[in-house]
Amino acid sequence: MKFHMNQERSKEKKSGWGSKESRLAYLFMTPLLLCLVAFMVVPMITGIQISFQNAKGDFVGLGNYHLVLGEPRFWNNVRLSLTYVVCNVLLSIVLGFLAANLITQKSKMVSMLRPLYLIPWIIPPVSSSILFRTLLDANTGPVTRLIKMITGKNVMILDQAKTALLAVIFHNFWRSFPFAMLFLAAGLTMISKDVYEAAIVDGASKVKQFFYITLPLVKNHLFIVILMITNWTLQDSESCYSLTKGGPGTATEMVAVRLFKDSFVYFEIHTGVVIGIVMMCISIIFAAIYYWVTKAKEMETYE
Amino acid sequence: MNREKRRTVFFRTFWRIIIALFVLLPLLWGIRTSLCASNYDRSFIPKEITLKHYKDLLKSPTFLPGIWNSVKVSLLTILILLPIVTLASYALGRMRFHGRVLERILLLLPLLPAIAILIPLVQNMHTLGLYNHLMGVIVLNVVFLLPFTTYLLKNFMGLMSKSVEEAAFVDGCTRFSAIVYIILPNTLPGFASVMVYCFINSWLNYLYPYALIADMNSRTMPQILLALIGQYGNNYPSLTAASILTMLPPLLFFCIFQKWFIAGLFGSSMK
Repeated sequence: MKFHMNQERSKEKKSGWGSKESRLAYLFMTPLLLCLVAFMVVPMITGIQISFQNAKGDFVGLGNYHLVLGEPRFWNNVRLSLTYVVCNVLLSIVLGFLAANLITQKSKMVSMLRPLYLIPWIIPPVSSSILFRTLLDANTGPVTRLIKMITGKNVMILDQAKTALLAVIFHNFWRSFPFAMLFLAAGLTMISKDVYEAAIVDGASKVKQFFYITLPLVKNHLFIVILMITNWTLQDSESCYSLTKGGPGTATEMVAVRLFKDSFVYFEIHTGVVIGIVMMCISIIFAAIYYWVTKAKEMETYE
Repeated sequence: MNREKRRTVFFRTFWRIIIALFVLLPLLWGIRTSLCASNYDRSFIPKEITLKHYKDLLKSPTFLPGIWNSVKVSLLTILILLPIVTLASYALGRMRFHGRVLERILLLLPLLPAIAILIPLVQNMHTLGLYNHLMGVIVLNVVFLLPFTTYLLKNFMGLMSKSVEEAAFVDGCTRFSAIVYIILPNTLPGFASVMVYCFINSWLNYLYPYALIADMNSRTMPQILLALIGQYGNNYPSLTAASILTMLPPLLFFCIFQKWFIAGLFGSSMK
């Protein structure tokens, strides 16, 4: 996810449809575009079409939308999604940012640690949720035993609404924190040392250095990683479903989990499609923000 | 100054170890549990160490076929994806044409949730006759990995200077042989990181197989693992053994190519 700016572009002469090179370029793009149209655009349209139908295929207008948006369970899903996203983003970004400072140095040890830190990000969510179940088990899990040692109470972490939600958040934090850390570290290494040296000569304190140098200069990296993690958390059904199956009850049933359960566990296709469209709209808003920010960044480099 | 420096070094090392522990503890506890003979072993180091759970899994009729299915899915995903991505990223990275706007759209597409359009997609797969077929999972993997991998490879392609290629054109080299003989050898790190990214992502995904595959014999590994959670209940030694065997292939792939992969994803400063 490096953002190389194509410096040649400004010098580039616009070449029209007619030129041989441009025709060939379109030819090279064709397989990709065909795939995307056939398996992304077409299903999106079919999805919208299904959302206006009932199980028999009759047109019911906004009936399905009324059904979903009118039920308290859906708004509970939305509320949980929000909690999930906000907590996970805050934890991963703040701690990731602090930890990023530890892996920007050029040394053998650090370059060995970076891939080690990335491990949670590359193991399958089902595997990691089994590991977390083992840690959190009511009888044998070390975490529960530690809690019992400190407070003297028996806790069933995955069976109580509040603690289950905490567990889900923590699990996802464990998975996304490494990515945030490495991405922000990459941003930090792009700041030249001279800037800090100049600041030290001018007598700026560490705190001032952070707020007036570090933060403005990694602003773009920070923004992009926040958006990416927000989106991942919002869309994440896998790591959450495999840890708690949305339970106990609906205590950890985020919108994506609800969508997964409705569509592929209980086969309530028509509510599933509506929730899918609602989710798509939210993601399009995020994509628009992302587009706008990366574009603004590109303008800065040209000026 | 020297004392202060030593203090910073100590401070940094301390936090690096804390983070390493945070990252590794669940894994280490998982390995420990998978070696326990009994589920009720509460001691820190298991009283009786056994490889029984691993052996049982390797003997069970669902496990090895599951791994094999996952290998097939991941490798075929890479195989189908690479030519499409190579052509598209070559066009975006090294050719002049109007469709440059497409690059931006490609960057946005990975933000859209695959799960939101999965129901109509599954219906389409029914019509195409790919339901209950590993090929369906492969197609979905390819489609949803395409935008990001194209963007990734395009960055590598854009790095190479144009002069070598232009010299080759003067000597009568065609576009196609330029890709094969000049671009490919020079962007190997890019191809490596695309391959690792694809392998890992198609391996860890259970959403598409869960939606598409009902046949017991063509389930992929994460899908089987999800079913095992219900089946084994609280039998943690067997569960953790299965989960560790499932995460091994992507870990192995990652270990081999980690330098290129990290450089591709985060920039060469993180190598």
